[in-house]
Amino acid sequence: MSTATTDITGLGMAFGTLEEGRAWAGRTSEPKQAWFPIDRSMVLYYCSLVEDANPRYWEGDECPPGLLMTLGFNPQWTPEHLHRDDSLFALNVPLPGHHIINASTTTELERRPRVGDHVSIVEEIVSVSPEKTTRIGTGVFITSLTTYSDQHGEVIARNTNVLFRYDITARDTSAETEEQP
Amino acid sequence: MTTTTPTMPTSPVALTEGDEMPASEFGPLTRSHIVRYAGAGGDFNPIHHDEEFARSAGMPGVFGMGLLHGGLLGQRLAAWVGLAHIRAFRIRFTGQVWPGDVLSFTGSVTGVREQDGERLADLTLAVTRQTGDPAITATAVVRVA
Repeated sequence: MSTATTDITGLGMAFGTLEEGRAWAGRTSEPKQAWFPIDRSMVLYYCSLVEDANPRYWEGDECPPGLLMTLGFNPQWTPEHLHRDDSLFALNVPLPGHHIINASTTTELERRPRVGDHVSIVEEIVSVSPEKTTRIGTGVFITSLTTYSDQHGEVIARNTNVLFRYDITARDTSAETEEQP
Repeated sequence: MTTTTPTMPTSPVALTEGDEMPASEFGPLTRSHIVRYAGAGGDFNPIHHDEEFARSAGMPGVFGMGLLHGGLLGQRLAAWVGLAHIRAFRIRFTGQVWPGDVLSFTGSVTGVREQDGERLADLTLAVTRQTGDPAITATAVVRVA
């Protein structure tokens, strides 16, 4: 694996050893408020993409749950005085891998998200797997539990996500696991 | 491209084991869909929009975000059973989707049970490429009549 520590994705990834990364299991982030409250333009751009004609979205004030998971991303650029160093917590886990890809996601909804919700996000690193080799590279699976609450503290949803963080390796299929990706 | 989406049920629907979600397709997937998802969702991981970067990450080229076709599957599930009745939705990404792909969406009821005074149906769902390769396998628990 490469030992370089440059975040070539621009997503705010932290770097360290496998042991440092695995020690993050059990850590919980500080609450982070999404940059933007959910607004109608976000909802309509998303519904236009996934071709969702539900009038609760187009003519009402509800928001597709699929948008919740996107609220943790920070803008690609901000004025310096507004800069926040709080990218997705799972990306802060110090590890060697330079690439990320999602492996699975599970959502449990407590209520439907709505336009105007200014979501707070708390992420817990549930586990960091031992190093594994898959068909795309060698790395670790990071499992995180994210809780989305509104500005009044009411929980909207919980999402368990598994991320594969990896570097590409010369293929040696004898070492590949059956896990995706 | 436009798709006619049935009105979402507001009351729990009657489902029994073996019932199937109305089959549907999406695509061909284009780079514009990928860019639109990045803009709508804020996912600017260059593996999805930068060909050279994607190749350096071991991929043959750019590919769709998992939550793009995951969102499409969720929309179809909600149109079938009603968003308010979805108790849990679990997605496992089993392969990438690529520009040019036509995606098929399927689902079926594997069982119906009583729990805490509710009738719940267990569902399996899938997103499949035109090659037959699965891109997503998913499960859901939904309230039914």
